Amino acid sequence: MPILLLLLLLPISLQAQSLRGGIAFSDIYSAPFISPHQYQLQPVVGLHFKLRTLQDTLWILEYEIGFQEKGYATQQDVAGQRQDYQLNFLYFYQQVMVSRQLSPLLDAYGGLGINVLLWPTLRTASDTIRMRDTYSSVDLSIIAGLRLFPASRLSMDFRASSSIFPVLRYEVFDDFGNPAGSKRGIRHLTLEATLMLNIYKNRKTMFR
Amino acid sequence: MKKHSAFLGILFLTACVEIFVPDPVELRIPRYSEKGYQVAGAYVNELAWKTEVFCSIFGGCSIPLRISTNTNSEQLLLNFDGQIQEGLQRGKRLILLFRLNDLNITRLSELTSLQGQLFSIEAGELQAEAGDYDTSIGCQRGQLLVRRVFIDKSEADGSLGYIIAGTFGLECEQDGERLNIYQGRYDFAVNSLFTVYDSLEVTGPQ
Repeated sequence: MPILLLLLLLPISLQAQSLRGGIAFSDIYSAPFISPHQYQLQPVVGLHFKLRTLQDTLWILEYEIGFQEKGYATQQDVAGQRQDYQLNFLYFYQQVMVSRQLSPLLDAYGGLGINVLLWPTLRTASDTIRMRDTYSSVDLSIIAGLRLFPASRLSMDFRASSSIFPVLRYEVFDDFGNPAGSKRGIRHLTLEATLMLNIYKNRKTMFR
Repeated sequence: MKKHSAFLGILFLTACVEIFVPDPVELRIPRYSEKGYQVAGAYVNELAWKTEVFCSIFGGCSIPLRISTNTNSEQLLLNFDGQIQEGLQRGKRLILLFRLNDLNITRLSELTSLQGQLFSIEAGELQAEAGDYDTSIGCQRGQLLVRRVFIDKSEADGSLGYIIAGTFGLECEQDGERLNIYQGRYDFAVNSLFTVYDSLEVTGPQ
């Protein structure tokens, strides 16, 4: 699926002005029914486009597509022994951002992302199981970040993103199987540290 | 004949292959679904239990769900055949037998009348036992809820069948042995290809 998407996006990919790759600390919140949970280190890769300047050259409209794995780790007690589980969600993301040059060495930006869930899995020590039909297929997120050395060949990007809406609607049962309502929960929270390889060493936009 | 049996065996295993989608919170048991995933699961004394398709070297395969009636069709019998999935008892076979009383179901198509019905041991609508082929323990408390029964139009061979899904919980005790079976859920596709039902007249849904 990711390869197919890349092929479909090949024409637009060739227009990319930066390549972005790195790691993300990924965890969840607003999930009181999942305890404990810990962050996971996940990969993120993307193509970055500076679309056009807004009003003055300090403000730029940006667009990015890529793949990001989000998730969390949790444990359960099984017959007195701790068993580890990793929940991984591979997303194809598209983000629209507005950046503002704060200084020649620093940009700040914020925006919105649409994340399409491609492959949710549960990993145990012995198995990987696909979690089909369980989580929302689309995760809307709000993002904010800082970019260091934006006009050099290699810049550093620090980005935080959070789900706007929960991605799980969970039906609850009591011990005997009586329906006990439904709960909504699980929002993704990611902190990304990535490097951007810039094709142009300035703040050139695709369109004026 | 051998070729015929082998072909039927492959067909059987293909149709019975379960789709285990874990519950997003109770990760060790299947999540409640209504898709015909051919699986039932529960906690049995806090250990995960799940139906399985497994074959013996002496011949024959287990069937995760068997639906049958007693001789006068007053009781509908549901058999969930599975194994403990973890701990020292991993691999131990455990069959749950539910006897649904006073139903008088004679045709497979009449299963749809079960939709939304709750069968309780305390109310005398249900008898249940848990065990293997040698021994079983009667259950004194518990229930089986049939949440959905509907016609399944997605059979790969074009034939029609039924999907039956619901939840259950049981407390069974006998001679000092106690089984607490909690958070049970099941989701089966009952199709006309294989002998997952006995004593029921098969008339396909119209």
